[in-house]
Amino acid sequence: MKIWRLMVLLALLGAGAGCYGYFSHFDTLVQNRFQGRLWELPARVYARPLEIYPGMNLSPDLFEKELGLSGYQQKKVKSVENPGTYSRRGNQFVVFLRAFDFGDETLGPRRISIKIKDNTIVGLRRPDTFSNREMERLDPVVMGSFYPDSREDRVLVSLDRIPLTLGKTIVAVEDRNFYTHYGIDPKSILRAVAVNLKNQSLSQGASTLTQQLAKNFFLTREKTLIRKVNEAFTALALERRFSKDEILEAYINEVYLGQDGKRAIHGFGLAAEFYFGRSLSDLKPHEIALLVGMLKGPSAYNPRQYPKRALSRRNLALELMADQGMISASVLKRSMAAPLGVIVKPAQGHSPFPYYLDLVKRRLMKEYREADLKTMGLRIFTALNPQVQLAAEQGTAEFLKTKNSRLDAGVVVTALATNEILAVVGGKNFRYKGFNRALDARRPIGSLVKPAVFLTALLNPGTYTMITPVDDGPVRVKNPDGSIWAPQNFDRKSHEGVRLYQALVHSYNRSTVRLGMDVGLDAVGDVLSKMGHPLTDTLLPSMLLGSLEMSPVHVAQLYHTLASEGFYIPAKSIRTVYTPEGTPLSRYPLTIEQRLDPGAVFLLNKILQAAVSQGTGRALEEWIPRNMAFAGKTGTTNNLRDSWFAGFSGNHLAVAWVGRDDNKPAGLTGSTGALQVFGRIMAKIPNIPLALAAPGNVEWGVIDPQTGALTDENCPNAMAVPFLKGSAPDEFHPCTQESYLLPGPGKERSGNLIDWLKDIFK
Amino acid sequence: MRIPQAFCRLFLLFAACLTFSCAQPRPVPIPSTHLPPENLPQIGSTYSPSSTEHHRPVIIESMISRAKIQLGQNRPQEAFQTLERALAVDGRDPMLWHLMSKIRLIQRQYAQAESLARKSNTLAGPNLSLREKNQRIIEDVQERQGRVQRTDNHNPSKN
Repeated sequence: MKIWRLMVLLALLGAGAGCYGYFSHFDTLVQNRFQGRLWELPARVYARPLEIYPGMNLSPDLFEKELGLSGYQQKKVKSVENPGTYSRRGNQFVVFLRAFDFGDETLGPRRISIKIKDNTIVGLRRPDTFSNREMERLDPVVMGSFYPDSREDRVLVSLDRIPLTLGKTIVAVEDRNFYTHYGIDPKSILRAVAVNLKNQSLSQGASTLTQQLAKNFFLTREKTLIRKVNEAFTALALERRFSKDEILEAYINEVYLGQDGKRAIHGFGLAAEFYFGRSLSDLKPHEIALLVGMLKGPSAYNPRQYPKRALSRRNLALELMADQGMISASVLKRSMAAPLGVIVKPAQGHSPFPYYLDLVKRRLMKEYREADLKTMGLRIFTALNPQVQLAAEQGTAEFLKTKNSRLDAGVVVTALATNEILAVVGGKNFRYKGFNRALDARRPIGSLVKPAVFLTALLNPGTYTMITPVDDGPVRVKNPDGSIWAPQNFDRKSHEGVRLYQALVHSYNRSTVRLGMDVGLDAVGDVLSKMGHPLTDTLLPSMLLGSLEMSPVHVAQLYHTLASEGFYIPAKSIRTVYTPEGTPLSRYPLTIEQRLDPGAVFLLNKILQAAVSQGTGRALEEWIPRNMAFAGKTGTTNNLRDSWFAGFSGNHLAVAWVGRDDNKPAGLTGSTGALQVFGRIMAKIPNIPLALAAPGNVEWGVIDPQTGALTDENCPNAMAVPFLKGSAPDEFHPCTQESYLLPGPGKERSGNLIDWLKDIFK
Repeated sequence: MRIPQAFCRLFLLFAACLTFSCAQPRPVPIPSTHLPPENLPQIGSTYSPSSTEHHRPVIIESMISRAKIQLGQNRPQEAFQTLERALAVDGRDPMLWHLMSKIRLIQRQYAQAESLARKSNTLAGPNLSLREKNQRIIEDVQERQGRVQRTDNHNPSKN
């Protein structure tokens, strides 16, 4: 008998030791898992936060589109009661802004009213405090995410920042004994066993919240006994290591709540945004009830697919909330009557701007490992301006829809002051990233290179000024291989009496090549390098007419150095990268380097203005009023294969390319193709006139354009011409008698005494 | 025969006027200012910063004040960020570039300070006071880098 007892005791001890060993395994597992990062968090990529202020140019329609991209829901004026909603009456908006952490400051939810007149903000107020505002900062559009391989997406929340009712409702609906059990609930298990035996099925579950968390974290979804045993051990280990609040918080962040294509929606933080377009802290009881009700089956109770089923489940959860005293009878009544309130479209998901996201990712990949980008939950603030991006897409689409379907385009728009890239159009299929022509289509740039040739000349004021005569006659140039190159003008004619500025305004090839050979290929190559495109290949004469191959983003960098008065500012797409905790990882502040003489660049920009107002770019006046004084240059390559336009206003620069992927002729010149895209885009965004400021080393002369000499200010043909100091002509030619007697349009004749006497004795 | 004195005076005056009127018009000196002669056509646009009065928007004034406060609180990085945000409102305000230059000087980023000061100068137009301030920064940078000896009275030499 004693032996039996001993054996039973030993068996029990052995079983106990085995159980403990088994438990220890799960205890270690839990400990290890919770010591590291609990979840793989996708990186979130934001557009620039829109900053609005009285006096700002703002198109009401583009503004409303940006609100839509941010997931703001349109309501009637009186219904703008929750963050993430807005109303519009004419050009007057009321917007209930969401709380947002901008990295440098965190702003809470607040209601603002905006009045727009003639595309300008004339009123900005906070109606709740009756106060006028100098500026408001809107939470930015999420323009993309880099997801972990699991495609799990979540927005982490902490218990102290979420509604108290959420935790209580979860407990009430899913696990009433949560605060009293140790991870497993024997009573519930017995009840479930009884129900399942009665129904002869496994329909009734008895998993506690802790077990559900254990299953999601460590185990598979298979329904086997061993898995249930493991789940129980893991739950016990979780309960041993962590407090109830920690377990509940982990559950709230972990649980699966729906699907958005390939993206899995996890946690209540993201679910609140996904279903209601708001943050979790802003949800009302009936919205909390809906999400908690969905825990039973996120697919079966998907409110977008099965609204009736979801409504009934939500109301069940609401009744439980009332039973537990979380909501009053009146709130229950009101909540039961409330609609589901689910937004039509998911707030996030596929990037609305995949071409820009591509640019951002390439930049990030230079500094971060892809695995880190996908799992560390980085917050990446970019320079993307959704309104400019939409305008760029619309402008491109409007042009291409009237043309050959094989044509495609690449566009880059930047901010003039900072060279931040505001928009990227990589092709006509805006929503599905394919070949990114804005970044990767390296094509000959044609006449877009000419400003570099003329700038090289203007940098030598001892030899060249804007009015230096240039020879536009036939030109023959010997290539390094001994062959002869004899370029033609576009109109196949030579032009007489051409001055330097006219050769660029009208984009004459022969005079450009002659000028380029005179100043030297190396000198032109040096200027191109300073503008932002280092040349590595051997320089050939054909470079002078744009045989160089570049992508639109490269051309934008070159032209930005011109638009920025000779100061090189590297193009920038990312402003700051933050950790999820708000620590800045990388900042990309503005950097600047003076590379070219601002005076010479000023002279060149004056010519580029004339190229738009009088030369090859004058078709732009169909889109842009002349008084906006844009500067720009067309580019066309052999057999009309590539059509280019690069230009800038006082605040924006854009480069457009139009052509075919198979490199066959597009049948478009720079003026009939890319310029049309450029014009359409620029007409849609708020531009300011280009006011070129003459630097200190520029002086002005009154010039007779026929002789190129100084003349009298009263001469009818007199022009004001800028020169780099010391390079103005010394020669003075008076007006010819005929011209002198003819007063110029709009000018008062001062005349001299003989004229006065003639007038008297007439 | 006596010629009346009054006739002589009139003749001399007429001769002088005739001589004056037959002379070639005087060349117009090139103005020392960087502003072009008014009312004359130009190559490109006649629109220039001086052709419109520049009113600094209230929001820029406010952001400048904020940047100065941040700088005063020894938070130069934040001040620089504030000014970068202001550039999105008006990128052609030379004061913004000047203040950014000052911040980089404080942070001992001398090359950036010099370039930013030069950028401010290209936009400063007739604002001589700002040009002088920028010039002081440029000279300060050059002195710190040992490129040039300061010559103004900010660093008087003792003989």
